[in-house]
Order: sequence, then C-alpha cells, then structure tokens
Amino acid sequence: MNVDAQLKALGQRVADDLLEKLGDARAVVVATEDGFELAYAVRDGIEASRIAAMTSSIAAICEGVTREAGMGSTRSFVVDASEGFLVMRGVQNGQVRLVLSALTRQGTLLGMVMNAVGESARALAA
Amino acid sequence: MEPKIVFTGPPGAGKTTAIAAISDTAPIVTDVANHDTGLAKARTTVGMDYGTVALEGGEQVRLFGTPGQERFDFLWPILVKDALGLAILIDNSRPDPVADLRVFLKSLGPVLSKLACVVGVGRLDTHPRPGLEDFIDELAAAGRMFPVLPVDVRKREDVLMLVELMLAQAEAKNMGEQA
Amino acid sequence: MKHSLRVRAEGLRKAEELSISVFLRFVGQSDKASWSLTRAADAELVLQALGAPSALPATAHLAWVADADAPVSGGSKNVLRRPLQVDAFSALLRGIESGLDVPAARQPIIPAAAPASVAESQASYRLLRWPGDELLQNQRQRKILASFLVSRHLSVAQLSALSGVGRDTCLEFIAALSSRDLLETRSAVMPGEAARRVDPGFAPAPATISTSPSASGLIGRLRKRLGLV
Repeated sequence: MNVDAQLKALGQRVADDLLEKLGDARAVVVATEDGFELAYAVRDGIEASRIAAMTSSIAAICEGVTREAGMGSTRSFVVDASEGFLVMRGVQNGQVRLVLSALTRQGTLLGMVMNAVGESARALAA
Repeated sequence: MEPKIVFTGPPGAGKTTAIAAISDTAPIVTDVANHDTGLAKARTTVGMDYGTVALEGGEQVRLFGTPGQERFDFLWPILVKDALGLAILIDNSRPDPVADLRVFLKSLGPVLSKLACVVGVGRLDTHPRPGLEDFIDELAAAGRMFPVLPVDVRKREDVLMLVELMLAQAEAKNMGEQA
Repeated sequence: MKHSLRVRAEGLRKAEELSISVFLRFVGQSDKASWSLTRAADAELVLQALGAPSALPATAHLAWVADADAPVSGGSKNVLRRPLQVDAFSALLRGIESGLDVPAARQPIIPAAAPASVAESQASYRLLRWPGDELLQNQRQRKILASFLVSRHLSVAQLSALSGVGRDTCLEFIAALSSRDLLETRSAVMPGEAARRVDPGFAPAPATISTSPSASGLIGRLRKRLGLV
C-alpha cells in the first residue's frame, strides 16, 4: 500500500480516539478508497481488512448514485441494522481519498455517532 | 426479471473495457485511485461497473463488472446471482494466471453449477504460457468444464464471442428446463 | 431382407476408426442393411489407408482412405478423403448396398441428409472436456457448437436445431470430438435413468426440442441486437 507513514499514524490516532469517544462501539476502520485498511481500532476481533474492503465498495457505489442522481457530493452513509449502525464518511487528505467507518452496537444514538464520525473525519482531513 | 451478464476476473483483466465494448451507453464505473503497489494501474474498480444493452420492446440486458481483488470476493456471488451468463477474464501477464482462475472457481463455488460460464484469457500473444490447456486442466481439477478461449477485450468481436458462447449454453440449459 | 454387413478399418488412425464408429451410428442403418465395425478378416467392406499393407479377401469391397491431395492410382471411385466426411462415407455404404440385390444399378442412393433414423435420434452427446485450439482455432461455428454441448446431452438433431448448423456439419464435429475422447455418448435410456445420471442443476436431454418462448425469445433478441445472428 503506497500511503505514507505520517498519514497512517494520523489514521491510527483518529481511529483510537473515535473508538474511545463512542464508548461501546465495536470497531473504527480507516480504509483507502480502494479497500485497504490504513488503520483500525477494534474491540471484538472483527476483521478490519474485510470491513475496509466492504466499506470502500459501499462508498464507491454511494458516490456513484450521488453523481448519477445529481445530488452534489456524498457526505456520509449509514447501514441501519437490527443490532447496530455502520456509519461511514468519505475523507479527502491531500491526494488520498479515505473512508472512515464506525461500527456501533444496538442502542447507540445515531445522531451522536454521526456527529462523532464527522468530527473525526475533519481531523483526518487536516 | 431483466437478465444480466457478469464479467469477473482478477484486476487488470479488462472487465471494465469488456463492458464498454458492448454497452449501449458509457458504463457507470466505480473506479478509484489504486494504492496497491503490486498492481500496475492508476485506477481500479471497487464497487461495480454497469452497462446496458437495450432490446426491442424496452427490455434490456444489464452488464455488471465485479471488482477483481480477492478482498472484494464478498461482492462476487452477490453480483453473479441469477445471472444469465458469467465471463471470467484472465490476464495471462500476471504472475500466476492459473491460480487467479482457481481463486474465482473457489469463491464462486456452487453458483457456477447453474451458470452459463466462459473463461477468456487475455494477453496470450505476449504471454503464451500458461496455455489454454492449462486453464482447461484447472477447470477439470475443480470439476468444471467451460469454454476457454483467447480474448482481446478491446475488440468488440472478441467480447461478443464470449457472450455468444454463454448464450449457447444458456439456450441448451433452457431447453432442458422446459422438458 | 435386411443384410448384416461389417466394415473393417485397415491401417487407419485410431481417431479415424472412432470417427467411423460414430458415423455408423448415424448412417449405418438403412432399409437394406445394418452396418457394424469389425476386426474380422471377412468383412464386407474394408477401409484401407492408402499405402498400408493389404491382406484383402477376394470378396470384400475396398475403399481407400487418402489424404485430401494424395493421388490415387487406378481411377478407383471408392476413395474417402481426409478428414473423413459423413456424406462421402454414407454414399459409399449406400452404393455397396445398392449392389446387394439385382438389378443393382436401379437402386437409388440414399442421400446423406435422409431423415434421422431411430438409432440416430436416440444417441446424445455431452462434452467431457473443452476442446483445445487444435479443433477450434479460428472456427467460430465450432466454438458455438461445442458450447451447446457443455451443459447437457444433445442429439445431433437437437444440436442442429439449436445452432442452426446443418446436420452433417454437426455430425462431423461430433465425430471429431469423439475421435479425441472429448465426448460422453449416451444411447437411449429411460427418462428416470437419465435423470439419475446427469449432474445436479441440469435436466436430461428431452427427445424433442421445446425451448421456452420467453427465454429463448430473449436470447434470440439479444443475439439479434448484438449482431450475433
């Protein structure tokens, strides 16, 4: 993966901080737009590399739909499941496009997760 | 249900190009910057490619291209489900093209029993080894038997030949389902 | 009366012997004779490779098997050119049969494209292995014919009807595949037995063709749209 060590270190800090902030979240993954895990913080042995590939596919398809439907630029996308939320957000850091995702448990407030993911995305873009 | 044809295979095998060769309109692509140093291309598909061929009466055949990297194998059976036909495109200039085929045969597994499938091997002119027989052997080892032919996905007639061989199988199969 | 006649191959390639056995399944039965392949010395017809040593009994009919451009001395009419063609082989058999009864000269020669015999309609074929480039290279039609045989057993008549390719061409391709051991051949079987023998996901070949109007229509429209017809 041809991404520099500085960005990787930043990704790791953001992932650790976000997992901490979300309390009982299961995982935070920072993926490159082509599906590699740049950094991750997990609580329950979830496979970050699989989540990275899947979230990059979801991001690509969401961005495709946004373009097709003339909806401007994509900000975030959510999988709302019976056992929790997966909140994802595209992040541009210089030339590199990333996907930040947080996987939460049931009972978490969606608005709170989206807000926290948004803040972390801004930190990652800086 | 509108039928679909799926193009799959390792990265760089020409799935996006194959769809563009026969789609009525410019395909919808979900390609992004490639960060894989082992892959000599600037952009790669991570979601899916999508094109269409319109038929008389408003019907259309949908063309899907899958991402090629193994980390996207979760998408392969999803896109292939209920397909009229599947083309597995192989790039013979990659380090181990026969192993590439093996990955797809294994991941798609039982789905392949119900599909009209064809294997197209690209860049055979510059990379003659492994030969077609090696791919036929690999299929046989996996208990499969599909057409295997050389292909240049930049040539529309080559892509059409892949489709033609899918349709022949689908037609023969369809005959039995009606019996 | 119907004659039981035998044909022996002398000095032919193994693949050619296999082709002859496939041809016999299709054109070996007529109103007058039933032909089979034999190794017996007193066969009624001997197919002799041109140049091979001969031990021909005086009573046998002889036909030479020669390369396409090989000169055949003596002005012999009975020459089968390589690669073996079913129509020429059929004409040879019918010619010999016409000499069985008097007056031989008045017996019509049955054309190769005669209606399918019972034996023919009962045999069906399925590919065991995709043929290599040797058989298919640059032959679009053969690739398509082979694809029809990938997923199920088909008779020659079914293959011809599905592909729109003439029966003789289909039969020659079947013979070529068979001579390379690339085909599984199935003679007539009870439907129940057929169902047990085919792979899951594929039904046995029906005796007659009845394609689904909607699906075959769709495939037909797609073919037309892509310029494949």
